[in-house]
Amino acid sequence: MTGIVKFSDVEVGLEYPDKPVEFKVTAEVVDKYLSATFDSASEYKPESMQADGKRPAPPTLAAVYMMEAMLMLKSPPGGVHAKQKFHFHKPACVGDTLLTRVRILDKYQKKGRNYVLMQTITTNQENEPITTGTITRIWGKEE
Amino acid sequence: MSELLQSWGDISVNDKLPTIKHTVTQDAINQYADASGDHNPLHIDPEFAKDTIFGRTIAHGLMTLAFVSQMMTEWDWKGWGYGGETDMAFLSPVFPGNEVEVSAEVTSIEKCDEGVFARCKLNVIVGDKTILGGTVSRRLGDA
Repeated sequence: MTGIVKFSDVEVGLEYPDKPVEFKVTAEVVDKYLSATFDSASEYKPESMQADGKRPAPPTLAAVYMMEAMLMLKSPPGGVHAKQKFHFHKPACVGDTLLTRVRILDKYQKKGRNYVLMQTITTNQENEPITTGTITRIWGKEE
Repeated sequence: MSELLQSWGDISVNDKLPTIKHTVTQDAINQYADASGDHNPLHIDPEFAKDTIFGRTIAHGLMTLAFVSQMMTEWDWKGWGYGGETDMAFLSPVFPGNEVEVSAEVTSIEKCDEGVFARCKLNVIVGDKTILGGTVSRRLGDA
């Protein structure tokens, strides 16, 4: 699935990709996220081993590891995030390999805007649930 | 079946959560784009953003969510990372130079099959404008 998808072509019920998107949680990824979001919490620092002996990432790193899967369905430029739900089952940790799939739950029009509702499900290498997300995106206008 | 409580341990309805403040700059938005992989030109390309309804670049909504996560981590990172939830709507854009203030208050404590949760109403503002609305939950323990 590549390229920009028109709103009319967004298929409700579609699950993608066939092979889940793999994301390795490295120290570099976590450090970059912490730096970009001004996060200095001791719980997520390199010396922290607070999640069953492993260094946890901030739960909202979900916004990073779900992104590649979510953006496989590309909106025309100008699309924005309208709503976001997350359920954090357990922290993703440095060294984990995460697997994410997406399902299109719904699409609708409201006040002249096009909306797409998507669900992301992320598990770790042990097939343990890490995060479930529900995203409402405003689809960018087509040229 | 769920049951509403007035308190659980040392947490009570009407408790205030820690307040977090950050000033968002274009440099920070660019860093977040790199960290998250979301290079939507609406966030990072002033020329593109000039012709959108916003008139200039805006921060990623999920960057603001990271600030909410910091508040929850400061309150209790385990109750956030293991069973925490968000349900929020991005109501107004955050522009470069804006100072974002995140706070919340416990509005209910719910005991259900999945555990005991503190449900909190978010207050995320820039000046007197609400930019993000919704709830955030911390898992307090087993039911």
